[in-house]
Amino acid sequence: MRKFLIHTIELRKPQAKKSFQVKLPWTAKQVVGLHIDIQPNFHAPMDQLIADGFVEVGSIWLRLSGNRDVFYADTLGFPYARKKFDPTILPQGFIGRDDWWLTGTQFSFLKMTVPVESTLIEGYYEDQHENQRVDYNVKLYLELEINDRGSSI
Amino acid sequence: MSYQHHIIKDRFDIQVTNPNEVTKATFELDKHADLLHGIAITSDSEPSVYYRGSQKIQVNDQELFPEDFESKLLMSGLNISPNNRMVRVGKIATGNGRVEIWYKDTDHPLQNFAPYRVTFYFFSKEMKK
Repeated sequence: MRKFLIHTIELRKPQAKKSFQVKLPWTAKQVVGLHIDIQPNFHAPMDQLIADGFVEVGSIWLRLSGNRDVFYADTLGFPYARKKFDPTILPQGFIGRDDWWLTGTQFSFLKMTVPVESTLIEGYYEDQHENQRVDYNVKLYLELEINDRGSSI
Repeated sequence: MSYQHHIIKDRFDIQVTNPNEVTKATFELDKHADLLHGIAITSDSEPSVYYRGSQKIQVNDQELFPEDFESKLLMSGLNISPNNRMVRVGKIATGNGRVEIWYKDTDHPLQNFAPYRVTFYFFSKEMKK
């Protein structure tokens, strides 16, 4: 059986450093999918966001609490800002500000196989802004494989 | 796949009339629907759902998607082949299925609020006896 977990990190200050823990159900066997989404809470002209260095907004890593094994690390940015910044290096499946309806590929979680032995995943997020306005949420989606005798997804 | 004739298609609508509110709705799947295969979301205002929407979905008290699961992760644009526009959820036994949906509208800087409709499609199959 599969189960989704969502963890939201709120960022309100530049250069904020946040440690967080995601508690997994005790029946969780492994992490099989991951998706991270960034949601701005205010609207600013896109050119201004890019001039302010909003293309990449922060970095994140995730590790298992038992053996301190980092299984995911990445820099994060607003996807539509990244597109306007340099449309020639669009990642596969990218979705733009106004053309998500016409471009891109079908969404899917990043596939991974991370067996979990404890019920905690530790994470660390660091904002990269210097003194700009910071007001956004980072949403972490985890797709888990669960021990269960019920129906399966 | 979702358009094959033996797939049972159920359509349920939710009207979102106020911003930043949770709308709860309960529906019943077709009585012949035994195995739920997929889900799709459309709207009369696609950008509103894409930017503002999230939902929790339960089938017979089994949670399929948790609270705050963004609607855009379950939507497909014109770029996707019509046969691939449903999100596959495996094979979930649904006999006399009851679907509960908590749809949440949240402010987003790229999309102002105007009342809109959210449509959920559930694709099921009848188990061969």
